[in-house]
Amino acid sequence: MKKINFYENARKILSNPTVVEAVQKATMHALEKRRQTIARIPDFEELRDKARTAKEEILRDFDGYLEKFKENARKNGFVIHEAGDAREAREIILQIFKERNVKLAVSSKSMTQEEIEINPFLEAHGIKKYETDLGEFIIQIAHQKPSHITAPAIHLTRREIARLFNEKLGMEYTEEPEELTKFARNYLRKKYFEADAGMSGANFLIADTGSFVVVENEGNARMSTTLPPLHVAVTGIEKLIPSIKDLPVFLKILAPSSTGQHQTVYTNIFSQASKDHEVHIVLIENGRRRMLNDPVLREALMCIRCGGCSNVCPIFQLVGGHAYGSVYSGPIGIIWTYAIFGPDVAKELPFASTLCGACYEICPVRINIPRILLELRRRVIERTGGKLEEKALVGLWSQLMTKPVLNKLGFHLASKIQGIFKKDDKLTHLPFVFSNWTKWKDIEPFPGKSFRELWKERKNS
Amino acid sequence: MRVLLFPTCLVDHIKPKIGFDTVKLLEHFGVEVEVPEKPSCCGQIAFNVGYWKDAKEMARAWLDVYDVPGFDYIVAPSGSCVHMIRENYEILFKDEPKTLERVHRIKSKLYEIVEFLTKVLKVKEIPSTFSGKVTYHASCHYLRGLGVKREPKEFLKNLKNADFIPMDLEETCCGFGGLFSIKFPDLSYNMTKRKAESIKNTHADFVTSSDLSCLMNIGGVLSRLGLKIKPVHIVEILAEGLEDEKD
Amino acid sequence: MERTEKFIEELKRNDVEVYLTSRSSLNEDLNEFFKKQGIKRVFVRPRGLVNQLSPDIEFTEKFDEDVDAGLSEADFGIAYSGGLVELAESPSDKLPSLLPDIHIALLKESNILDDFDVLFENIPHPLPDITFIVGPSKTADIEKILVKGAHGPRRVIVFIVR
Repeated sequence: MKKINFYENARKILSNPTVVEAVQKATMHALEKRRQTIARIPDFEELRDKARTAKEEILRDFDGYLEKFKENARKNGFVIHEAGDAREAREIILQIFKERNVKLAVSSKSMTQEEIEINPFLEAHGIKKYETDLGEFIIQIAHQKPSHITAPAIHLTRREIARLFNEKLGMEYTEEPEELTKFARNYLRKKYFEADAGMSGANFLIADTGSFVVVENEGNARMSTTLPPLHVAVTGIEKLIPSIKDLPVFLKILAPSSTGQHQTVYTNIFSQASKDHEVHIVLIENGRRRMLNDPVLREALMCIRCGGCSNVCPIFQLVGGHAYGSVYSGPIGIIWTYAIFGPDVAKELPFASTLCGACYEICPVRINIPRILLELRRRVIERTGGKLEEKALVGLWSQLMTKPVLNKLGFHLASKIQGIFKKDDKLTHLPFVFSNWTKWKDIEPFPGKSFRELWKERKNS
Repeated sequence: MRVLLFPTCLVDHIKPKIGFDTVKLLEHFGVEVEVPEKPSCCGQIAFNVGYWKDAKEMARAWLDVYDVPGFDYIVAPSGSCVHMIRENYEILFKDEPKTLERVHRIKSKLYEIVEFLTKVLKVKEIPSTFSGKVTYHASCHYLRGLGVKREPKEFLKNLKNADFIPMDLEETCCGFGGLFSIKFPDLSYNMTKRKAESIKNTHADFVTSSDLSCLMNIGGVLSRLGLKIKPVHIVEILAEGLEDEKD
Repeated sequence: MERTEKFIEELKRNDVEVYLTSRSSLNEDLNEFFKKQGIKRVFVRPRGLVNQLSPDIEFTEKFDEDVDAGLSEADFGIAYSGGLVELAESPSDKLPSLLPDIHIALLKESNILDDFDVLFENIPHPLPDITFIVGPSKTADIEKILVKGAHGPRRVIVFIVR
């Protein structure tokens, strides 16, 4: 994967007001719904603590719980596959499909499937896979990537979707969401019945029962996992929770944090397989063990993929998920992208935050995202040395602040020469890197004397 | 009670009035204030963009200036700088037990000004007046970092003649983020513009906050957009109507 | 009963239509409902209460395009979420609540539980597949505008049997 140019992507998106408006509307909508829903859950803060504790317990003995899950899942009749990386995962899935002569598959929304880029791979091997979540379906026919981990098509307007359905699927042009949804429903209904295999992700892997859980609203996951004779669930190993007794806590925090719903419409808990209905679980490692062994990154493994941090992030609200250039977007997505795709690909991403802390505040399992971003920034600067002008700026400031003589000289000089950059008593066109500031913002001129100097004068007068 | 004032690098070099107004507030409540001769910066600007070596240099110099005997408290007119020292110095010096000792010692004495007035001096109300419509921007590190939410707004509401009008995006980041604003100027500007619109919708004459950095950023955009709303630090508002102790 | 009231309140919040009935009048009420709604063919999960009905209309265990509604007895109700709980021994058990446009669920009042916890503490092992159903299928993937009947039922109706 090539280096992700976050800023370049972001600027492109900023020049498209339709996207900015659509993303803002969608994220603010989810936040407002969350606020209303949480007001109905008096013990929400305790639930967050409990969820955090359960995830901490998983991290305490990760291998123990993973083994326990696999053992119990096998007892349920599930076939367990383990993939070290994305390539292995793709091969495993292809193998399962080939052995059963699968030509057509339907799938519910799964970010892990996006992560391993399974669709183009299957397509290249002659297997057609339909995304059945409406948002994912739209993205698929538009040949785009999801722009939000739980609401993949929020960057598109109904007009764009209408045009897409009209051009690609031959639907009579309409912008009515009701009609568009109905069309997708009928279109996909046939596919469920024809499909040789159904695929899903998993929101939770339950160690003590070997069950896995898929939450959804549309019923497409139910269809995909029920109608075809084969169900392949693709999931990261971090989705573990210790016990089915912990599940209520997670069900109570997930939907409110995500879409702002009290509960999702459907919660599917799978614990059974049979000869007529095989269930395979593909457990994906792909960098997660590296995270587990990293004292700072490991906390991010607790993420339950609610997307709340994206909704609340003032940067995400402006540019949406595509700016992040990765399947995992938003604040937590920065960390995941760095961990999975590596520091060279993601070296710009950790800086794509003002460290405002809104993500930490909203995270249902209290992941200290800004703290992790700070550490990633340190690592990037250590690896790359940093950009020259930025390094110079920081170095200069450090000198000015630690050397009193330089300090006096420097600011004295600055106040003397600033006149040439002044307009209407404001600095409006500064040189060097400072032009990045004055491109958009005015700045007050430096006073001739510092507070300390003035204080000294006042004391001595 | 003796307080050593940490004016912060920005107030020191960009808006000394905030330093004097902080002193005025403290003196009004009977506190004796001293100001160090040496300049200093908490190091946040370097720390937040990954230059921890430079951050350490500045932080160490800061400790040299402020970890001195003879003062009961250290007070600063900035939520963000206090947050840096209180929360991040331990990360920065985690492998230096001796320095950590200094950090712990100083942490318990360090307060942001409104925090100091309410938590240490137990001030309930500032006996002062201020004429004008004011809206409040909660700086991120003050609100979510230090957890101060209610107190500054209570002070503003209780000022005589002041008309406090909350804005809808009160708790949303203004888009400054230190060097973020230089690294990603278009993004930063668009965030600030959103903030500016929220401020404009209140029809306030003034926008205030605990942090000069946010105010410089917000003010920079308000000015560029030709809006007449004045950014003022919260101590400027609180101290404005106080009788000057020296007079 | 307080629990039932809470359950009904949540059901309504979830856009579920609720009818209260009793063991003795269930059959009559259902037939009345079918008649009123013009429901002529119902895809059923033949278990529990469903097996005790004597319908005026056609019940079928096979789904096709001419089915007007699905009918099943929900195993439990969860007052916390207004959710119906269906336990499935096989995938086909899940279909009556999924495929038709209308899903009619019967639920014994005594099977209404306060919260999820109670369910997981009392459920027998090895576990069956479990589905929680909270209202009609829906989506808001187009401009966050809510549309009911995304892939599953557009309407969910519950008959609580006292």
